[in-house]
Amino acid sequence: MIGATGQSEQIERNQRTWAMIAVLVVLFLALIVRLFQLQIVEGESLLRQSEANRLREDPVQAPRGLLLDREGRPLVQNRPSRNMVIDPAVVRGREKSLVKLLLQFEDSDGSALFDSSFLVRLFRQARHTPSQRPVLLEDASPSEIALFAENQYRLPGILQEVAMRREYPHGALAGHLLGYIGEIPEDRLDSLKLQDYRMGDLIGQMGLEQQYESDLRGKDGIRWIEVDAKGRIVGTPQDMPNKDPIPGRHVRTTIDLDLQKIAEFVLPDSLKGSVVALDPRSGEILAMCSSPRIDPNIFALPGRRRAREWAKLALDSRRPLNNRAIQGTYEPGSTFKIVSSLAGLVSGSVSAQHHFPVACRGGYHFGARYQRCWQEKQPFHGSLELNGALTQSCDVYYYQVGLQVDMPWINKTAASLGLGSRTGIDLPNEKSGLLVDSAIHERRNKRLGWKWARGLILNLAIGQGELVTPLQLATMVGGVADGHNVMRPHLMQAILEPSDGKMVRTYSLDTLSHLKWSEETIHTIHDAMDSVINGRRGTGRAARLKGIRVGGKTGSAENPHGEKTHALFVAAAPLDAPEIAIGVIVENAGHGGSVAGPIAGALLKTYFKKTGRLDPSDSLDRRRWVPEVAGGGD
Amino acid sequence: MIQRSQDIKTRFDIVLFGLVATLAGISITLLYSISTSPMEAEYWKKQLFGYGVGIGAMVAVTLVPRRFWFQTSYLLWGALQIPLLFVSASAKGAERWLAIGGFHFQPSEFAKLGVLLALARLFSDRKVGLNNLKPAIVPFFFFFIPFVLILKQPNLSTALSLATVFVVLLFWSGFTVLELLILASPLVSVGLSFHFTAWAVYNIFAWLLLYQRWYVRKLSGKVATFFLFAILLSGLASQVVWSQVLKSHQRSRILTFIDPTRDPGGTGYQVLQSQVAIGSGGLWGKGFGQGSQSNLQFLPEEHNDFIFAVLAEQFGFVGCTMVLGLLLAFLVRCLQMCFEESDRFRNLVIVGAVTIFSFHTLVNVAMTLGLMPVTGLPLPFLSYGGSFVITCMMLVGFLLHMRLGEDE
Repeated sequence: MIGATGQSEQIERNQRTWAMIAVLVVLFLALIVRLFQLQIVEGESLLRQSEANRLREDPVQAPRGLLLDREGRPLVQNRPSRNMVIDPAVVRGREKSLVKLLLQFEDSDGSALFDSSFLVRLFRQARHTPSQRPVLLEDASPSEIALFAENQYRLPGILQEVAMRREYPHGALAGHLLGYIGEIPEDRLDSLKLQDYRMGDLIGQMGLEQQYESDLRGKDGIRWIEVDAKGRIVGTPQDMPNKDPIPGRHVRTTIDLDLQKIAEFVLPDSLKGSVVALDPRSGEILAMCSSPRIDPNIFALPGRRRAREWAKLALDSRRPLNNRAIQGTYEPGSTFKIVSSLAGLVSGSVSAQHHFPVACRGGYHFGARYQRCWQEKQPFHGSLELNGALTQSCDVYYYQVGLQVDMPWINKTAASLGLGSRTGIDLPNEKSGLLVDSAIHERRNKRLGWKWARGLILNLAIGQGELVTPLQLATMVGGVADGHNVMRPHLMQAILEPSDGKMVRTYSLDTLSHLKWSEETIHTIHDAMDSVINGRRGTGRAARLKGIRVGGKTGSAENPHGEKTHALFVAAAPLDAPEIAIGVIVENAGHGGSVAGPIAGALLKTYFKKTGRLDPSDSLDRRRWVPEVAGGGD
Repeated sequence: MIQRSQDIKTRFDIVLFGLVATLAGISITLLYSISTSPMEAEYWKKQLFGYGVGIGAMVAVTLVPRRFWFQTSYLLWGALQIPLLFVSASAKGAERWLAIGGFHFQPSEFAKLGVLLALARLFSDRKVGLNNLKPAIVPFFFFFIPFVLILKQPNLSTALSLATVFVVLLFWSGFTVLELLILASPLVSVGLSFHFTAWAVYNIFAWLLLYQRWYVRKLSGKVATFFLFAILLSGLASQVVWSQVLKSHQRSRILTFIDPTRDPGGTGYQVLQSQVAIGSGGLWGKGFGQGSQSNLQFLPEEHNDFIFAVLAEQFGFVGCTMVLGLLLAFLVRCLQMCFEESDRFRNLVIVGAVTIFSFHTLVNVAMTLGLMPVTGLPLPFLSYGGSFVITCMMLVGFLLHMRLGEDE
């Protein structure tokens, strides 16, 4: 044997064997020490880490609250829709072939359903955030769903998901005041993150959707899901602290759907303008319409089409995005003569029987200037009392009222009726309008160097120079008709719990101002407003009703935008105990009495027919309705 | 034939085989536990098949005549290098596999066996030491050629396991521990060269040691001088190579190899998830088939290099300690044979085989525990892999074959 040697070598070899065993034992012990450290010492925290690996919170969309009319009929509701989404884990590595196939998809018009830059962006997003499923196609139509179903086997990782979408069942009806929802703009995301908003969440962006966002929104729930390393959902683990979504609350508005429908009907898209009807006793808005209108449904359209429609709206010179009811400011024109009359009466310098020294012969000499009356030809207005002056809207009479009572009284009266400042309606971005006195006039015209002159009172007294919104007009005429209180206009009547319809809270009525007028003052102005509508020579005869005492005032405001005047009309009824007050402005349409008057009349007829007080022979015939565009007096 | 069957009886070590069978059973159980995922559904069956073939190979290895492996060792060495050459020549990237008739082989696994046998035979008739390096020259080339071929594949971990075998066999053939340390001193110098003070202190100590060895006549002047310069120059050279020759991406690759957390998306992710899996097992584990890390594919290569993490997640500290105990018992049981065996060749084969098993086990487990770089070295008996299981079983066959029996 080659290796067989002496005993000493065997001993030495045994020593080496022992040495090797010792080394192995030491090294194995080292491993066990490390195991102890990982599994016993750090075990808890590493277990949490492994749970964090496999468990993920999946948000569950909370249904958004509805917007209802005053009788509980839905103005805005939700409907289920189907989105096509991408499962990032499955499409990984197949992007190229999927893009190629998807680019061949066409919609019903034969144009491509997707463009390549959109698809590339989408798949890149899928790769970066594998836990989210980017939406390939929002709100897919049945034919689009069929298209995807046919190609299902060629489209691995493209799934259908159900999501709730906002739906506006009456189309453009009240679109401006309802508003719309859209994805959170990036610049607001940081501040909204504090309120649990996430990127891509929808948020109210106009009108009541914006105003009552916190009530409508609800709270998304949480569902725990188990995912694998690639982010694929593999199951729903048991006994997790899942949270059910809390549905958003409904907002019951003050809008009367029937009245709103008529308002929309009598102010068609061909006219620019606005109608506001409210209940002066409470300030509840019964109808509010702005034309041209927007259909909020376009904001619920799928991505590309939404952008197209949005651009169309934003670039339209008719400015349909403006809610003219609260954002359109117009010169009040002759409707302001109600305010001037009241200023005279309240200040005590004009009585009902008062005749001014200068009778109307078609104009008025003030210093070197000659200010005309709208009625420059025979038959002249002549010397009038207040009732006749308001009925016939005599400018000469009101020039003298203005000079007599001066601007502080006029503006004080106007302000007490809600003009010149925001009414505080529960809608975002309301305009305040404008009342003018010497200081404001000089501040506004500083650049031009124009100074205040008493001659300006002549214009301001007949409503040229002030700016009002249609909502302010309605508030004003409502306050005048009531004679005691001007109520803050509002749209929310109550917030309702979605589960049982119980009221969470109601709008607490708010008085804008208390009018401390004498009964005689109220009586005088009501008589004059009555004569405007019902008088033989009244300019507002288009709004009269059988058996119900309507009071109002017409207006035709000149403006730099067109040849025709803006047509204005304010009305309230019944005058002794008013329930409805209306403000109408139609831009560049002609005279108030002939264009705006019938619109107010139609609303009044609808309102009183609904409450059963209208003479049946007087009802509105919608088939014979033609928006008039000519004739009549101021 | 009668004598042959008695041979088997004496050679068959019931304890050793029992340990191996237990480990094999654990391996198949673990692979079965992860078979819920469709990608890994078939692994446990293939492993079972691998063990079937492996046991056949083991029996074949055990049954050959007494001196067969000694006599054919050089031939085997040569024969098993050929596929290695073949792979190296055709290799682009980390191509370690060779397909023959639908089966995939890892030639380096089998080459190891040839190297082991050849080195055992070479060292069985010579004594070496740091002062007596000449007899080690031939064995060095028998080791170095396959070492380079495997390194070129590139398969650093398998190459290193060969180096370890070589070093342990040097130890068995006369090198003292101190001499082995001197042999390794230039490598230590390379490692320390990145910290100047440590390197300088190390150099002074190393030089003093070499001087002392020479002074007491344990080391020849020539060898002492050689190592003195080797230590100094290897440190300097490593710095030059690091900063001048290597490009920044190569440097960062080396750094990532040493510290995987530098690459949290790649190997760093594997190491982290492996530690999470192991730690989350706790004392008793999550239970059979309940490993969320492995079931949900958070653990990459779980059937293969990270099988220990699968074990740790499901069976906890208790299960891991038991399996490590089984592995250690297996290794000690093998080394025990050296006490009974006086034949140098057989001793060296046993020691070499134990070295291969130990190296794999320690490096693999240390890697899954985050103590070592990720090298891609499987865990003996437990990891999935046909060639590896067959090699392991053949090594067991050698061990059984080398057991004390009747000498002819």
